[in-house]
Amino acid sequence: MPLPEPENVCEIAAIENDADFLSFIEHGPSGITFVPERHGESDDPVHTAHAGDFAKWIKSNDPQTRVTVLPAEGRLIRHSSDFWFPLVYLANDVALPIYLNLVASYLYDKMSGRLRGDTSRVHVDARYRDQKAGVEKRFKFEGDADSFCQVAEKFELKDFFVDQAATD
Amino acid sequence: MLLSFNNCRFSEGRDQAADLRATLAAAKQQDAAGADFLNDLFVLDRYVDFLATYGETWQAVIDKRFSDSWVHLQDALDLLRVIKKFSDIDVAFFEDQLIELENAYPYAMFSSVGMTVSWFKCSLCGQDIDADDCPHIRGELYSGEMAQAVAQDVIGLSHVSLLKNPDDKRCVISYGDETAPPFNIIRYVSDLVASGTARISDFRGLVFSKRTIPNPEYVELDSSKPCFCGSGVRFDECCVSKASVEIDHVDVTTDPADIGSAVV
Repeated sequence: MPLPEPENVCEIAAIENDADFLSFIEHGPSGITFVPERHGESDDPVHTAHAGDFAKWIKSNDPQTRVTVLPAEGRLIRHSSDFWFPLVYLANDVALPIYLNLVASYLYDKMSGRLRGDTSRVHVDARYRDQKAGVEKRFKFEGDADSFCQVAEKFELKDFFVDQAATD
Repeated sequence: MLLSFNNCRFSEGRDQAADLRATLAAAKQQDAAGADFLNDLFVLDRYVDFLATYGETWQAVIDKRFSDSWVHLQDALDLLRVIKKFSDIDVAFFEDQLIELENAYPYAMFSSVGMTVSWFKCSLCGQDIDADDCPHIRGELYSGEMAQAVAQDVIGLSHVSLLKNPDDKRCVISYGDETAPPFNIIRYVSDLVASGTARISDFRGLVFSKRTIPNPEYVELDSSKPCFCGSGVRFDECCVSKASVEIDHVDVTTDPADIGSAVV
């Protein structure tokens, strides 16, 4: 009997008191910064297993985008078919839709050769400053890869700013 | 090779695979072999591996070694993914058939160990594969070899989890007894092929449905009598409506095919 699929979650919400992100954005950085996180009972922040590969992929496929991978105590291997993208801080020169399209393109590359019925869930977490509203926001997605790519497609730059205005 | 497998002459098929591997190995030694040529040979090598594994899968099914056949099946599916990624070879017949065969097994949950490691070593150059100094991208081909990320220096175990979509379906929650009812479907497939009722290439898939059958335990009683189920409750307040029961049903579909047409 097939088990039920977990539901997809896609949300954008204002974040408050994220001292690390505020400190990051106030230093006027550029590009995408990969931030290690603590997982489980470990005290040490680690990167996800895909983080290094994804960083290298961006450097190779979109060389004008600067990628910084903050140091971590290791890489976490989960052994699921999920794609766990790292927590990223987006500087003001990288709009969220651009990042989402990078993720979608990476997924397309990595999933080439998949068989009928192969599914992967995608976990994306990005923090950015909504420059129009002047507030910090978090984009979070947890769901299947095909749904993520549809979300990324809908985030056309023009529409994104309209949507942002609507949510402000 | 496939004709040998289809006629259950597995040893003969394995010998043919060995001959093909030797031919490919000789081709790799050519002085003029360039990167693209070697990458093409890599794919052909995997195709031969796939065909051999396909035979091993079905042999294990017929022998009713279902745990072994599951592992061979996963090997075969992984090889199909590689072939699809790096070539235009049409593997639709095998893809469709083996995915359906996968559904005949009772495995639905898998175990997974999460761990933290220091870094990933490139299988080709030995450097940190995520570092800029390493010129390789994991999973890509370079002169006939695939760059693999090899985990180095386990820092600690993070978790053990049960999941539905693992990276590796070989880590099953296993059944100790392969004669148990959960293996009924794959056993039925095994019997079909072993008896010669269907050939390997005939297997097409499974159609799951529900069927209503007479309840074998049902006993029609006077309404005021205690129910046959032993509840102690009056029959008309208990199992009076259970004259029939719904059961899971599986149709195994077969369709005679020319297995030679499966190979391009």
